[in-house]
Amino acid sequence: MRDLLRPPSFPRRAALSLLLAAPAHAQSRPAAPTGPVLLSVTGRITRPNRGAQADFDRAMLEALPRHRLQTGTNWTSGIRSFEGPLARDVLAAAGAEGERVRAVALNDYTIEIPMRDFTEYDVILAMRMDGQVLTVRNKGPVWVVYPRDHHSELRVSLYDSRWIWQLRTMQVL
Amino acid sequence: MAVAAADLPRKRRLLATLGAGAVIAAFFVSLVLTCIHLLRLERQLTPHPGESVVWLASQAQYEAMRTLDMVVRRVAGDPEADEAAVQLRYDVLLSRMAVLREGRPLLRVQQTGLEETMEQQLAAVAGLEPAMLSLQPEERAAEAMIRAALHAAAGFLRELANRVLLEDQQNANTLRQARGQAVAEILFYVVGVLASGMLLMLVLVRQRKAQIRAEASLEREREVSRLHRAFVSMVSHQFRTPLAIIDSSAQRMIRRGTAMPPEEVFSRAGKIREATRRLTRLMESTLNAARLEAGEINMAPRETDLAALVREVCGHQQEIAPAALLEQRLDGLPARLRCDPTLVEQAVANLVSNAVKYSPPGSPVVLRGLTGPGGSAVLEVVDQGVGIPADELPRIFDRFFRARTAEGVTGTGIGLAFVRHVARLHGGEVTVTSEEGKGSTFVLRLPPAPPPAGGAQAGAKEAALA
Repeated sequence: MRDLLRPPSFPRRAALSLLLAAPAHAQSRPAAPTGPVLLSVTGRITRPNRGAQADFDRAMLEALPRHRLQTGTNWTSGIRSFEGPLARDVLAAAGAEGERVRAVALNDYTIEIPMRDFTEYDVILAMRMDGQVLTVRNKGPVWVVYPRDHHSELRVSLYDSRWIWQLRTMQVL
Repeated sequence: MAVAAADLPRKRRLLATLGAGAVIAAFFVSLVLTCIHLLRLERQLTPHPGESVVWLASQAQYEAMRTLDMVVRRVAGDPEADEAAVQLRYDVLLSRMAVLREGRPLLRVQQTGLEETMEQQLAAVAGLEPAMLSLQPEERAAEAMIRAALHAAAGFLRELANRVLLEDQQNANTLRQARGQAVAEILFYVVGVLASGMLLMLVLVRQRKAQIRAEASLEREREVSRLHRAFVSMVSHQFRTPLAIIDSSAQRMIRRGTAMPPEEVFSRAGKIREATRRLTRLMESTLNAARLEAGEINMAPRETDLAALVREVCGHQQEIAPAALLEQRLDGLPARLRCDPTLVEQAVANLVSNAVKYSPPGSPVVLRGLTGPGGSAVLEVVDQGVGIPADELPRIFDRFFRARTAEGVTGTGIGLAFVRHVARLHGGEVTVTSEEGKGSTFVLRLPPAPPPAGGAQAGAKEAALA
């Protein structure tokens, strides 16, 4: 299942991000959102689309390569299937250049996440769980999901605290 | 008999070994079990679910208050508090409460027994949806209704956090106590393993010692039996020749009867007497050996003129073997020496008769007397006889041992052992240097006075065991 939705291989991904980060492309402003904004990437980014920040609506996020991840979580029972873009793809789309990301939720819960988490692990910004669109009432619209079932080192409380749900803003530091 | 008697302690020792082994095994198993127990406790000490419920409940409580704040602002006509803003806060509140109904948080809530109350509160908050979505400014009644429900929810959430926190503290306390107990148990078992290990080692060491002792005594028994066999074979061999001489002479005399000329009778009788003397010497020597074996030789030391004693011995020897050339240079001996004259006389006689016996007729035997350090007496007996092979020198003083070069000469193998025994009884020593075919030199050293009785006794015992 996962294999079908495999993200681009690493060299391709590197080339992609290089292209995205290239100055020629930075000048062409990426498309602005047309629907309600679900996620904003702020801070040190090179591809803003509204003022200094890059806003994403549902369509923009769903247009990115979709990744599926099956894992259990500390807040749900059983194995759940999550779908959404890879966190690093979203950050690359905004041209993020930084070491850390300060993630802020709708309820103002804030946590800092090292950029390394996103490059080393296939962390996704889940927008669907078991095929159902995540709503605000159910940890949506965007939930940071770590592949904890695939990496034992992720099954510690340090990483649990980074599973921020109702994600609204990612500030690149 | 000895084996049967040794059987009992051996059985007991085996039981002790098995017992100690079993105790160690039991302690070890307990130790492992307690360690596993401790590890399990450690895992329980990681208070993840409880902590997270306290945190989640406080978050939900905060959202309840924020929602209420938004509702109040909406009713008061705040332009920022539009429909979407109210909906967002209400959705967030619902999501924060829903988190408590799933996964590990739910398990923890179930433990507190507040699950049913929580469901009621959730239902009450969920029931606010129509009022929330249609809330318009100035709707005081709706505001009052929402306020009542959210206050109740917030109160419940506070109660939940409180209960979980208290329970966790109690659990942590119990766990800490259990852990302390487990650690104490582990220590106890470790000490037990060490103690029983030491016990087992002690048992093993004692067993080993007993085994070594048993082996040594077995070796001694073997040696005694070997000596016994050697003795019997020596006696039968050495006694046969003189007995044969006596028998043949007697037969001749009977056969010839009165026809035998008196000279021949005289010579035959002389041969019989000579053989009888040899038999007597053999018997005395054998008796000495028996006494030596039994440790029955006792010393009666007194002031002795050693030179006179040696001269007397030489006189006797000359009587037995008139052809022997005995050269005496005894002036160097101390004038007086405290020793047992009977024993020393026999010892010197053994040395002198050996020297004569193992030398070709006409070869000289030199007896040289000296005074050693501290007034001790040193008597050297030097012959130019057959000598002793170098490889047999270390054993020459052993009982019944006879050198290869002594074959064909009558002897019991007791004489030199007796000499050494006498020397040691006096606190002295006898040594030998020899070259095969060229001769031997025996040196007898005696201290000016023998050691006290106790030491002599110990020396006697040692000599008897040797």
